[in-house]
Amino acid sequence: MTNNELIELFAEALEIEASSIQSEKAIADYVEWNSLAWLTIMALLDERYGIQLAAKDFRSFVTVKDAMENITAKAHVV
Amino acid sequence: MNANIIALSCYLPEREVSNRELQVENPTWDMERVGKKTGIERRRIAAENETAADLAFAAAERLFAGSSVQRDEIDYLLFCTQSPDYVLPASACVLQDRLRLPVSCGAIDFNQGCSGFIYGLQLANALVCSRTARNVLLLTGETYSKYIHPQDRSVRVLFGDAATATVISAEKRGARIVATEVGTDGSGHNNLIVPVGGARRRFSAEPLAEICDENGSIRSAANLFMDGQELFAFTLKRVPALIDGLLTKTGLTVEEIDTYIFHQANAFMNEHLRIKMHIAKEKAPLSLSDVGNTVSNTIPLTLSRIGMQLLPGSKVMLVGFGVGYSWGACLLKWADVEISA
Repeated sequence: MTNNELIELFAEALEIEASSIQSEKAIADYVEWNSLAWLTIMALLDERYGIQLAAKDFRSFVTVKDAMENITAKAHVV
Repeated sequence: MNANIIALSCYLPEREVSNRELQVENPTWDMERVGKKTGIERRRIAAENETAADLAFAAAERLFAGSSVQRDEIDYLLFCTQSPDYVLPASACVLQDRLRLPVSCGAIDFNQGCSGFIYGLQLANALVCSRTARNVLLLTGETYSKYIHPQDRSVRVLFGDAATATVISAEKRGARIVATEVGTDGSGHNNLIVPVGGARRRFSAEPLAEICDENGSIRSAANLFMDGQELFAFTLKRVPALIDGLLTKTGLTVEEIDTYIFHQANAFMNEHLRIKMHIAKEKAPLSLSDVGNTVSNTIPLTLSRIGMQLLPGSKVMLVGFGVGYSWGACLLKWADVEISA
């Protein structure tokens, strides 16, 4: 899984263009961000990469970059 | 010895709450998006003075009116609810009297949610197969609406009230209970909970503080709380293993099951589970757009709606999961069931 794939996945969940994703921006600051977007990310990660994140881990991510680093690390373990 | 489902009915309260109504009441909620994701357009809500036991009573009356089952044949009543009329006595005792069931009839409540119908089938199957009972009346009745804060979007958009009645019998007709499997992980109990009102945190005279969470939803500790993300993560982890477990037990493959009836949590979760398990869309019907997530009622309610289309001899897997955490699955070999919907 590449960072670009993850950005695409975040964009899909937020229903915005991948080019609008800024990796340093806080996830909660996207106006499109809500609990449904979160569930969508969890679902897409599971569907495409078989990655299941605990919700509490997920909530600890502040920026898209945090999320990418953690998810990529998890992907290597899987 | 086998136990069979011979009759089934359901009952929905009259009042309907649409997404449009919720949108007007809560202008900041994006109900169009909620509707699209959850697959829920409307839900039915019990009246102020109408309880889960009232709904279950109506479902049972409908069953007796619409099937060949007689009241005096019932020798065990199981009532699954998390909204009992009283702390004590059991609502099942009150229902025995209201339904004019024999005094020789056993009657208990059991407290389960989305896995409750499976638990009821498993218990009824054990009672029949051990020759303890010949005809078990299994009622499910739920009114989460009584616990939900009107401004808590996370649960108000999802849940609806309903009741169902099912007769599980020693008679050699109807849908046979082939196998069941259940499981529990109480470490997740805090993720779907009404914290106040039981003995651990009793109601007190002082009003409870209402808090607003990071999503703008408001609730007190006496209201229903749901951590949707945790529930979703739990479901992804447990449900595939549950289905695999029952398939292994029965020596079947995913493809050999003709119909899957999943607990109707929300369309988003159900569709994801279905795709993850490689189950064809036409094999896993969704039946929640007009009623929402009705907790222990979703599976029998869906069965009552599609039962007429199921072919005799077909293999039907019922799959429940949620509050507890608790989960369960049941394999049925379908045959005609007297359905009064």
